[in-house]
Amino acid sequence: MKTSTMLLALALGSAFAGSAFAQCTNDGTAVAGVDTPPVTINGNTCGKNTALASICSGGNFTNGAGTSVIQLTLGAASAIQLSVVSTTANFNPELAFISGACSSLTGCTVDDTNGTQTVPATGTDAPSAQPAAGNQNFVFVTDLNTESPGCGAYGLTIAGTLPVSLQNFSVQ
Amino acid sequence: MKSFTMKALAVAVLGLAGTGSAFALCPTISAASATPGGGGAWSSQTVTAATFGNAATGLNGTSCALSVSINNGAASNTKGFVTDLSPANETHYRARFYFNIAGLTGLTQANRQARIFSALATTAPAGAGAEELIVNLVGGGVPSIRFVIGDTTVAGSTQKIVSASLPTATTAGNYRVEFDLNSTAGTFRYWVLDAAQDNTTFNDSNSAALTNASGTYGSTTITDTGWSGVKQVNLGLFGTSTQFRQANQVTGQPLIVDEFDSRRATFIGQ
Repeated sequence: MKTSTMLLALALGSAFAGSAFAQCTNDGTAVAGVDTPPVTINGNTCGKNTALASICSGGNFTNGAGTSVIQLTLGAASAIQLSVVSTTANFNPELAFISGACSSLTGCTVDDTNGTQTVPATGTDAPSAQPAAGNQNFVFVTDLNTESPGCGAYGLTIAGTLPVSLQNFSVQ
Repeated sequence: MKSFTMKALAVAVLGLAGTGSAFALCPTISAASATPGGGGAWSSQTVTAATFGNAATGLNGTSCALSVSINNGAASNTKGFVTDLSPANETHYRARFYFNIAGLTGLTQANRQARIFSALATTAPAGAGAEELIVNLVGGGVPSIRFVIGDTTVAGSTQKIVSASLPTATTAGNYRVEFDLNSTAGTFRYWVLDAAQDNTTFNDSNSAALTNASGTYGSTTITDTGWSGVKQVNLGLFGTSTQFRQANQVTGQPLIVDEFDSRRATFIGQ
C-alpha cells in the first residue's frame, strides 16, 4: 500500500497578510481525507478575507472583492503545481503562494496567468517560495484586476510529485 | 471663503521664466536624494535605486516633467519620489496630477503594481498605517488606478479600495487623476481621465460631466476621521511589487508625472 502524505485544509478565517494585524486562523472547515493528488477544491472568493487589502509584501493591492486562503499540508518539500479556473464572468483570479507563517510574506509570489502556476516558479514570477514539509504552506486565490464583480466561484487544482511512503505487505 | 492653494506647480517646473521658445528653461533635478526636491519646487526628494530626470515634453502644455524609473536589479526598497510638506493636517484635501505610462512597457498584468502617490497623516487609528490615501498604478490589458483610502469601518485592513480603468487616451499614455478627500463630509470622490480631452474644472455641480465617456468619475463614502489629516504627500514611483520591478526595471522605462496641484477649499482650475 502506498500512502500519499498530502492533506489539504481550508483556512478561511482571518489571514491578514500585509496588515499590521497579521494573523491566521483556521476556522475549522478542514477538508479531511484528501490525499491523492491531483485534487481540486471548489470555492468562492466573494466577501472572504476582505481585510486582505494587499498581498505579497503589500506590493499588490487586491480589488477588495474577496480573497480565499487555503492551507496546504505537505509530507515533504516538493514542487507542486497550482491551477485555478474561474466559472464566474469578470472574475479573473490570481494565485499567490507563500511558505511559512501565513502572516509572513517572505518569498511570496503572485501568478497572473489565470492558469497553472508551478511552485517554485521561474521567469517573471520568480523567485517564489519553496514548498515546505508540514502545514506552513498557503495559497491565496484573489483578483487583482479592476473588474466587476472581481470575485466568484473557482476550482483550485493542486498536483505534483509528492513523497510516498511504502508499507510492507504480504501475499498469500 | 477665501480660496487657499497649498501647492500648484509643475513637477519639473516649467519654462515660464524663459523666452517662451523651445529654449525655455527647465530646472536641474538632482539625481540623488535632495532638499528641496524636484528642482526646488518640492520640500524634498528621495531616490533609492532609481533614476530621476527631466522628461523632454511636459504633460499639460509645460516644457518638461519629472521622470522616474527604477534601476536594473533594484530590490523592494527602490523608490523615487518628491515630497510636499505644506499641508497642515488637512481634513479636506483635493489634488490633481498628470501622468504618462507610455514608457512602462511591462505594465501588462495586474500583479505589476506601484504606488505613485500617497498622503500621510501625523496620527492614525491604533493599528492602522499613516497613509490616509494611496494611489496605486495597476497593470493589465487596460491598466488602472486603485485608490486605497483609510476607513475604520473596514475590519482588519482599515483600508477601502476603489478602482478605475484608464480611459482611452488621445495622446498616448497621458492621463489626469484628481481626487477630493473630505473627512468631514465622509466622502472620497475621484476622477481618472484622458488628459487631452478632459481638462474640465470640476466643481460640486458638474462632477460627473465628463467629456470623454471612457473616463471615470466615482464617489464613495469613507470614515477616516481617525486620521489627523493630510500632512505629507509623496508623488513618484515607490512601493513596487516584485513583478512590476522585474517587468519595468530597465532605465528608460519611466513614469512621468507633471502639473501637481492641491487645494484645501477651492476647485482645481479656478
